[in-house]
Amino acid sequence: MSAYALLIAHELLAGVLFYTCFCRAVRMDTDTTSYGVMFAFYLLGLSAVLMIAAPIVSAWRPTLPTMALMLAIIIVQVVTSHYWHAGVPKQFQKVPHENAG
Amino acid sequence: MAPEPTSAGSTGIAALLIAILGPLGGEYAAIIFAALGGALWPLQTMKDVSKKKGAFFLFRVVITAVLITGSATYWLEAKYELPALHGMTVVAFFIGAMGNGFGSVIDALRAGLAATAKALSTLGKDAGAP
Repeated sequence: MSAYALLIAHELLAGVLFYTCFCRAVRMDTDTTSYGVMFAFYLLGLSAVLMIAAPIVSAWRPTLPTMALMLAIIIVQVVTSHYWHAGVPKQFQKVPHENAG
Repeated sequence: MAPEPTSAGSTGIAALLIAILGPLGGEYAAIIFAALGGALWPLQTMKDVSKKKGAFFLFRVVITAVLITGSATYWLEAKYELPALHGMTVVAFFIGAMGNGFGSVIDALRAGLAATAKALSTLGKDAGAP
C-alpha cells in the first residue's frame, strides 16, 4: 500500500472514529450519564482528533498496526451503536447516589 | 513542467493534506484540532442536543477559538517575533473546553467594568465635593 493510500485510509478511519464519538456525545449529559463513561468517551474522541491531526501537524506517519487498532475500535463502536438508539444505555447512566452528590 | 511526484515524502504528504484542507490548514491546523478536542467535553455535558445542533456547536466553538488564537498568534509573531503558535494551541484547547461558558465570562467582565465605572464616577463626585 502506498504512503498516500495509507494516509488517506488513516484519515478516513480517524474521521469515522470521531463521528462515532460525536454521535454518542450528543446523547450524553451530566444529569443522566455516569462521569466515568463521559470521561472514557471524551478520551476516545480526543484520541480520534489526535489521530486526524497527527499526520497533518507533525512528521508522524500512520502504520498498519495503528490502523488495525483503530479499525477494531470502530468495529466495537459500530456493533454497540444500536444500544444507543434510545439514548444513553441504562448501564451507563448515573446510579441514584451519584445524582445526590 | 514539473515531473509527477513518484515518491511520497513527508513534504509531499503534508502539501497534499494542506491542499485538501485549504486555507484553514497549514500551520494553524494544530489550533483547529486543539479547539475541536477541547469542545468535545462541553458537547457531552449539554442536554437535548441533536446531531445538527451538536455539529453547529462544534463549528461555532472552533471558529471562535481560531479567530481569537489565530489573530493573537499573528499579532505576537508580527510585532514581537515570538513563536506563539504552540502556546496558542493550548489556549485554543481551553477555549474549546470552555464551550458555552463564554456567557458567564462576558457577564463577569461586564459586571467588573460596570463596578469600575461606578467607582470612578463616585470618585469624581467626591473630588468635586467641598
